[in-house]
Amino acid sequence: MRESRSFVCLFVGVIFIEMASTTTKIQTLRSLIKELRRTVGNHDRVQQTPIFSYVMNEYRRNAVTDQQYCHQQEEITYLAQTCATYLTSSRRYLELYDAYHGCGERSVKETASMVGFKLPNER
Amino acid sequence: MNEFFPSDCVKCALNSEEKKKKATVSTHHPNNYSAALTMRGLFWPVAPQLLNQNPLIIIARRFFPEPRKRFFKNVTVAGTSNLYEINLDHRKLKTPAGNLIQVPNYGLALAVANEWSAVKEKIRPSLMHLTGLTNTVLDNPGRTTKYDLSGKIIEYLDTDTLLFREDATDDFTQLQVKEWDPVLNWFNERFETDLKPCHGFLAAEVSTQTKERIRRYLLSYDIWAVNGLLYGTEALKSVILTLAAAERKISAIKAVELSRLETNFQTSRWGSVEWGHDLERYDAESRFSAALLFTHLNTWQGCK
Repeated sequence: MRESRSFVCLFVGVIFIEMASTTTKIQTLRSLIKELRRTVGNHDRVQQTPIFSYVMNEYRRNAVTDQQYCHQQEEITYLAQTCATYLTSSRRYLELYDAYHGCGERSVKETASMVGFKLPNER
Repeated sequence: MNEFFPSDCVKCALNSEEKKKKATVSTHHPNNYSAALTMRGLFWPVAPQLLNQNPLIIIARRFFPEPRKRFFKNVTVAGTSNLYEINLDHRKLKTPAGNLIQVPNYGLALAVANEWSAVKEKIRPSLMHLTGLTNTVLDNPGRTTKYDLSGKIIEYLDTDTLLFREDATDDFTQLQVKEWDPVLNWFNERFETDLKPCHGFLAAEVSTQTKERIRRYLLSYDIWAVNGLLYGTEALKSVILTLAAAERKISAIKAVELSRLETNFQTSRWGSVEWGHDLERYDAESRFSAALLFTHLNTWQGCK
């Protein structure tokens, strides 16, 4: 069950070059929490981890919404976005690496099937 | 590989870990298998003289030993308001040199602890960028100061990615102007510099005044943040993009995208290879966002 959050989601226009592109602040928070959930083990709940309470405290302390522009809020949103990027990219890198390089040397048959070919003697 | 040096034999590698450089004969390889005398990381090809002498041999350590499995259950952060430590079960996390990891802010300690608790089965230290950065700052193996590090960052300014423009293709030149010029203009305005893009084979002209200005800016950060900035610059090969991201003008993903503009342009035309292009992209993103996270957590004066 998700914690209820009292954020108001209004989309404010992009600030300067490409600040947070078109994602709102609540979306940044949600993607960060989603990534944190993936790093937690099977039997734990992400709400109980200290990193979750730290993130939520920071967001609440500065009342991060899209309705106003405040220096502290921008810092925290940017931090959350960077953290989410880090977790996502390292997870995806690991997935790709394991998929392609994780199992040592493949046989000729396996390599062929990876690119959609069949060996000449097969039907 | 010849039969005398089974480089992919797991058993040999495991044995070598246990027996630790004591000379042993490999008992599970039949018929006179022998391995070259090696030192850790080096490989001397088996020479005929060695074979004739039938020496006692040391099983070679593989170049890529098996990663350690996860040996801890919980990762916790403990500490006072100034120094935070990370505990794996009851053990305290230490740097490679043996120093205790004590970070000055809570957010960073949590992030490093998260890297360790995210380990599913195998521990891969090469992918734990925040831990690596913390280790570098605390150990300081190169005995580098803030001045050395900022000098290293300045060196990347001469060959900054954003300053090298394409001449031949119209599409790509326009794309470069559209994507890179706003960031370059912001940089010139913010730091009062006059960096201009260059064409052809000539390198960009960066005046000493520009370098001094950037050096002074970099020295205003502390040793922790400067390490983060150097790591980020090395990931993208661009000082302008790193500083734009440090000032929060562009996001981490956007910065990586801008540094890979040509690669993306070519792959959009000729196709992208998942195990090459995507892997590189995620590697650059994870390094750069780790560096950025490290820098911002160390400069941000939030809740400690």
